[in-house]
Amino acid sequence: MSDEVRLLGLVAAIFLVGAILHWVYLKSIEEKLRAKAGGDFDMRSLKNALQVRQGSNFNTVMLASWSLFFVALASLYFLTPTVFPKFNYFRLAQVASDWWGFAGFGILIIIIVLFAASAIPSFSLPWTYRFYVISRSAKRVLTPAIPMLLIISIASSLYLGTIYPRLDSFSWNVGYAALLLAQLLLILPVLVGFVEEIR
Amino acid sequence: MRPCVVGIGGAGGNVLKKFLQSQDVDLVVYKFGVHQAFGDVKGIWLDSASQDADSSKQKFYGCLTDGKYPGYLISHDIIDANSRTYSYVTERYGFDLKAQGYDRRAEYLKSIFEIFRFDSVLQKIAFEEFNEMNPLPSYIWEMGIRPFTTLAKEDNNHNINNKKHGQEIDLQTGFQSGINLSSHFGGLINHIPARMQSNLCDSILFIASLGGGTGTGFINPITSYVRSKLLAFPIFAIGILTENGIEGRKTTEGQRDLGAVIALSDLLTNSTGNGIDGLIIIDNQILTDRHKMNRPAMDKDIYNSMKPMLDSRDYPGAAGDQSDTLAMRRVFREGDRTEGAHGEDRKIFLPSFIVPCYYSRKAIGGKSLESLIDKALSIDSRLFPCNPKKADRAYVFVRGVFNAANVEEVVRQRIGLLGESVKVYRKIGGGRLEDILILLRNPYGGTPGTHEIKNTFEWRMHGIITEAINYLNENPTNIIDYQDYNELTKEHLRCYFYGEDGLLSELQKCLKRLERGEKPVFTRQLKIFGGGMQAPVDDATPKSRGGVQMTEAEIREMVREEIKVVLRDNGW
Repeated sequence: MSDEVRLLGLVAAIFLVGAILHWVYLKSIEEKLRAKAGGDFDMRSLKNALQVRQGSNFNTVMLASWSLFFVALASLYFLTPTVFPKFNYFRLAQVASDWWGFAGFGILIIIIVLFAASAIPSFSLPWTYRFYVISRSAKRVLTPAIPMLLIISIASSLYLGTIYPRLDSFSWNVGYAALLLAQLLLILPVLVGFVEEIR
Repeated sequence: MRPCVVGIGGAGGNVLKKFLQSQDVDLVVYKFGVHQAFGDVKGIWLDSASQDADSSKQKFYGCLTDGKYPGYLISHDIIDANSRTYSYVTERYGFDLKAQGYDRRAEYLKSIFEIFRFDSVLQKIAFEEFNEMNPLPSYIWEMGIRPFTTLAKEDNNHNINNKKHGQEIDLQTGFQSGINLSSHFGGLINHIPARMQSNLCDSILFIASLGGGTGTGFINPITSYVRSKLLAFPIFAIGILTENGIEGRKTTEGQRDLGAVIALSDLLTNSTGNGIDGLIIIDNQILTDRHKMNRPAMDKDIYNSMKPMLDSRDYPGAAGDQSDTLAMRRVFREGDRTEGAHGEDRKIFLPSFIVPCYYSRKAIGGKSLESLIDKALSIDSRLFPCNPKKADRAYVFVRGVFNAANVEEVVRQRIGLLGESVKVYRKIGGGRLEDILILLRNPYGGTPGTHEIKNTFEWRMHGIITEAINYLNENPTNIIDYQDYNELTKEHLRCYFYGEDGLLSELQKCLKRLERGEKPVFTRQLKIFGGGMQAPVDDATPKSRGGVQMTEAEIREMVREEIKVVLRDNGW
């Protein structure tokens, strides 16, 4: 297994950890409320009670970031044959080499992500933000930082796609580091909420 | 509770900014969706000085009638300087309906609203011009507040029905062409951006400085107007008492205290269904000491203190403490005979003073509920001087994980209340803080001589009333012979302030009540141009109809309203 694949495993692991933290966060609130505050309620009503509006601007940017994240991930791993020689966009050589080839790839990923986010919202990270109190200062940091990092990552991938079959490990590393940082920022509200809850 | 917060006057506007501060990020280039304030509250800034609202002086508010949000509304924009109504008021009374602010004169605005209520000639003129006998409060209500409340939905339905019956409403020219303001209903909501018309407000929360001119003058007339249409809509007010000494605008403490007692007397002497449901009173002197005159920090403190009440994260489940605002209104106003006014007024239960006590701390395990409540009730956390043990009710809003029965028990123990006198509303809260807001109802009275004990409610209120009395005694010229008041107005003001049963005499009675430990402090509402005063105005003389004391104007208004209902019921 190549290093790149291992690093993809790290991305998946971070999401898995994020999902677990979110679940623990909800269970922890549920248990605390039952134990200390009393009252008869189910998880559904707890989720309804926990919801807080984050604001349309924030939601829009985070949903866009969520889509961009998958564009960046796919561009890094599935644009060129470097990591997965059998599963990559370059296998559709005619489409990929057209003038709109790279853009078409990105748009396709965005459509898939947005479709999935609307069909199964609970699997979309921005959807889970509604259960967390996110401060304005945190929002001010997250909204420009995440898209910027993802754009850096996508730009690196596009560069790699442009110079292919030449390779440039520096660009790949930059693309991956930006992707990983953006991912960490994406799950930051969940992480902060979890830490505050278990304290 | 999701109130439409109405900041009135300069101070009200500044505090409102904190309440309406966006929880969302600013994308600069484009704005998606709705303005998101804490607890989904909405609000408007109501002022009489258009120069204060000018964009060169402030950037937060835009003009509400231009569809801007957060927005301001200038109360007298409805009145044209060339109108007959304006001329009549100027000539007959010497009042300027388009005055740019009322400069610490609570009686100015009070007078203006009263002449619209009691002068039938003025009502006739106003009706001919605006199809509304009292255009100022109706403009503020229909144009400013109502579109943000749940009542706007009913208005839209009503509007649709009207259109079905062929009554098209010209929204652009309605005011000028004399279309009834009240019949605009659904139409008026159209100046509010469509995206603001979701999650409408279930109550009104006024915020005003007590002791100013605009803030103190507006609450009562608007409330009276709203109550004439809707008896049960929850209306609360936050009144901020100004600090001691001479303030930035060079007005003396006495002048501001006079404004404050006029406002308090008007706000707290309306029976259920006629006025506000409770006055949350805050002493700016406490905030001044706490924040060393840092005004934004003082405003933020007021906002933070109210957050447990506004937080939308109610406890889950049917057994959760859902902050149903109508139920809260009932709870705030419920009482028994012993809590009513004394003597012949005992059967009337008047709106209460409500003193907020707020405390927050980091939500780290190991800290007890008792310590949270003790801190909240301590002298450092009270926003108005009082003795919590004198309160006749306590309403507790707590954010964090707490057992309701425990909260109720501890509060009851600390305050010494019995039975159902403590109501608890829990919110899940969130973040690193847990906090508690305890609203103490009428935390005073019962012990004669308490007014001499520092940091009691009686002591502070006694001081305010004494200052107001001193100002009245020492400044009759400044009060009566002011600006362009004509002789008629001066005579009415003289009767109101210095008459046999006037304000000066009433305030002395208030002092006696405080000294004897009686409550409520204010029991009688005085009118400048209305009944009860010994002023020679034919139009305002009360008349007896079947044992009921009503002015001719009131009878006309009543008949008009009845006709409207009959027509509406018959599909017109």
